[in-house]
Amino acid sequence: MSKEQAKVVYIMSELVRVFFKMGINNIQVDIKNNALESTVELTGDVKLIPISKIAHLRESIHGARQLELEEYWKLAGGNLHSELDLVGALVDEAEVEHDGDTLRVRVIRKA
Amino acid sequence: MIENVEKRWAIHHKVISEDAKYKVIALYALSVLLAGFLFNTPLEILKGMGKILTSSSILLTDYMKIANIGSAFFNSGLMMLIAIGVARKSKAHMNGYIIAAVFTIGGFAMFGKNLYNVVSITTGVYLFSRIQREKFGKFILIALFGTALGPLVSQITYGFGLPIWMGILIGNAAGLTTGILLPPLATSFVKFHQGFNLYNIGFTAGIVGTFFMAIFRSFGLETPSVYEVSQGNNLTFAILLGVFFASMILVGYIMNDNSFKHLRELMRQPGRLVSDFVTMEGFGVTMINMGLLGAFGVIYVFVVKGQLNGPTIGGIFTMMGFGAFGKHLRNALPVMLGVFLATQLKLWDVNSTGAILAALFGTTLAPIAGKFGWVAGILAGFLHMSIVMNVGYLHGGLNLYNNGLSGGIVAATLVPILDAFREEDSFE
Repeated sequence: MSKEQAKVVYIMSELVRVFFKMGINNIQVDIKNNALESTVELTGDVKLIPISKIAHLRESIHGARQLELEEYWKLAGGNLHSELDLVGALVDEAEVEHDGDTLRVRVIRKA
Repeated sequence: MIENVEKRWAIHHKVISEDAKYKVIALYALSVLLAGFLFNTPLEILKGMGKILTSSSILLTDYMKIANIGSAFFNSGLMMLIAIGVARKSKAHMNGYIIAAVFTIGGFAMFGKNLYNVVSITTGVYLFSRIQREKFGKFILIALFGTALGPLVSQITYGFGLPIWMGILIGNAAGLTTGILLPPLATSFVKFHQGFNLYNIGFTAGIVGTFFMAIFRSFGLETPSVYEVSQGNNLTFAILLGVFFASMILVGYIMNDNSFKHLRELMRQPGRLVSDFVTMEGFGVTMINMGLLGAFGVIYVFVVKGQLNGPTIGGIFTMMGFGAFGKHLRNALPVMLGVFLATQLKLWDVNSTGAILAALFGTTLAPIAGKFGWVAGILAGFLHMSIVMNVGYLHGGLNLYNNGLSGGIVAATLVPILDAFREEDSFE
């Protein structure tokens, strides 16, 4: 496994943790990885979810890459404590959507 | 032109351009450099710089004592300006992490870092990025914080009695090697303490320094015990630092829409790695937080009747710098209180430079208080005091971030225990 793929695993793991924390236990994970970029998409069935939680998620996983924080990538998804802000710094694009039945989070990380 | 990443999502705080942030931090660095001329003439500073650049610089070598006060400030400002230049060149965002790195370098340039002993380490990190074919920007924090091992270069060059050409050659080779080793180690070691020790490179540098020192000792080479600290300048330094931190609060207030808004939100952050207050709450309020922490550092030194000197001012600068990257009064105070209590019950005098440094730098454990509460923070500080006084021998003073090494050990031990006794639902 390449280092880039390992980082994708950590990002996915952190997002799964967030879904679990929101009480979503039925999660679909879709990962696409190539030489140029990696996409991680999680969807989970959830009807009731506070708007503030969605807003917090959007603000944390903002998708504004900060290369300077790359050193800390192993903290993501690696322990019991939230590292959503770190995920935000490790990805270039992020989408958070809730359509009433399903929560969908999609992040793209460029190589 | 560096794009400000905050504007992509920041809706509740004022976004300051990267250019403006760079200018503000550079002005503070310049003011430290110029402050040197309040104490000494240019010629005295030049001579002092000569002494600084040729000193072995191992802990505790106060540049104010071995050279002069002006040279220490000049060296500090110069190192900060160079760090800002390196960050700018690598297109780094002037966010919390770079601000913390700049002021940490400035602080330690009062007692250990200088232009000679940091170049090879930073070059080593750069070489690592070339070997890995990755952008240097990904390793900029390691390049800046990694200069903690500057005394390794200086000690080999000047301290082991080698012919000067051999000392320069071996010293810089060791610096280059260190720079190449630090990135993979720093990335790995951060898991050890789970981000609850803010000085991750300090812990990493401590381990690397321990390896180097063990090898030196196996060849019969030993570093001397150094305790060169200045004293007797409290009032002058207090006025100078008071103006410095008051201006920081004022500038932050103005840049924060003439208000203290978001300060409460900032102080509710646990502060664990990675907590970049600039992107979370804004540059202005972060400056206010930094000014408050710096001012409190000075007050602490006065309360315990300690001395403001190179090392303690270095500790205050570092604490203030991390006011942009994890520390605030709410999570730092319990740890300092823990160290203070430890000095009341243990062997060390509360006003000794070592104990004051433990209190100031011990705030590396502030995230423990931020996450687990006051009692855990006090316990962390209490334990830190004992550990920090024991780990210096391991690296023989080669690692300037001795508290980072101790903080890593305390956090890695304490956090799993605290986690085990938490309610499962309390995890974010």
